[in-house]
Amino acid sequence: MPPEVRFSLTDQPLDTASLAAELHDPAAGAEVTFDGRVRNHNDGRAVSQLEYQAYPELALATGRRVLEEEATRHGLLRVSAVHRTGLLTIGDSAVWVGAASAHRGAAFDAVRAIVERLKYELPVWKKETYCDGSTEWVRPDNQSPRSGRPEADDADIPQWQAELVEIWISPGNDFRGHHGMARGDHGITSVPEIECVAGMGLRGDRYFGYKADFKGQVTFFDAAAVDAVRQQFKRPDLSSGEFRRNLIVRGVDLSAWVGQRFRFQGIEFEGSEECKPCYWMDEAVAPGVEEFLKTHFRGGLRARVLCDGTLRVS
Amino acid sequence: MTLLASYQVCYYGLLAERRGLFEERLQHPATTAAELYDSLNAIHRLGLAIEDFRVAVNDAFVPWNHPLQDGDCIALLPPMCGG
Repeated sequence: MPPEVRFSLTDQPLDTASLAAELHDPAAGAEVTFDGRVRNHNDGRAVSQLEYQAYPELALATGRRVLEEEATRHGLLRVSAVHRTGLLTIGDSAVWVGAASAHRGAAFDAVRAIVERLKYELPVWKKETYCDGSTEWVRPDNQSPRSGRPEADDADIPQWQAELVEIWISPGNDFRGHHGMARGDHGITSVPEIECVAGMGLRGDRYFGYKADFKGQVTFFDAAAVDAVRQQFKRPDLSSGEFRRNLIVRGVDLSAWVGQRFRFQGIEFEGSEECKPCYWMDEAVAPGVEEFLKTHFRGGLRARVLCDGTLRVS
Repeated sequence: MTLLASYQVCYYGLLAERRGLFEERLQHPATTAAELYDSLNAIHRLGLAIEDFRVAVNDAFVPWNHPLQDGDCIALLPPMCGG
């Protein structure tokens, strides 16, 4: 059964109790709701009211697409979201998101990911009026989520002097969840730069907001391993995207960073574990590649993103 | 003599405020969304660089090099901020 998806815009106050009631489903063991409200301060300034302007045609299509994608990715039964337009005052609900799933994890993770995505992807604009009478159009980047980890001094965290050779992102999983079936076919795209969001991952990638504290928010892969596979398996033209890792780097020993924090292009990461290759590598690249990548840490490094920023190909 | 294409341009948020209106119809020689914005930016000092925001044509997000056709509706979408 496809999930039930509802997205709407309204210039009227949100009736969150009715919205929540529409999530009820006999197969759902969890309902998670988020109520985003207008607070009385932002960035150190006292706020008196907010105005949301929307591009309705595109906002409805975009909101629905975000909900459908997250419902599919997390396996939700029902998902619904509403965004306000017009004038709002302190305490009003501005955005409401609700998800129902069989088990709690999926609903929690999906709601978090949807809220983050709507903030950046929905063609809606927010104008704050401050108590001194001045106004400002707000940018999303001064409200990006923080991981909640304590800030460390820059000096304490080693900085990678590595080259970023390529950045790869994909909208969906080709291997994970495909055991016993054909691999997925989501493609993978090389991009010149990518936004990293603390606690979430790479914006636009399949693992963005995948689940709380996910170890593989981002994967690093050594360009030397790409070279080695090309040579060993006589595939000189093999794309580094075939490995379905995110960041192809040169000039750093990835094996040294498990459990360690580091900065790369000013963005803080924490290495979590070796990115072990799976049997799909033999199918995706060539027979024997899985074994080959299992040695010398060639499978790469999985990591968490600890602060926001943009990575760019060197 | 070249016939100029007719476009509808919609402005949102900060850009609507800087332009002083939400939409206008104009005849213009631009053939891509980027060319059109560059020209409007030069005239109206809109002040955003195209790397920093997005554009939609006929209610769909498109890249800035999207070719324009007569009658297209071009929406200039400064950095969005939902939630």
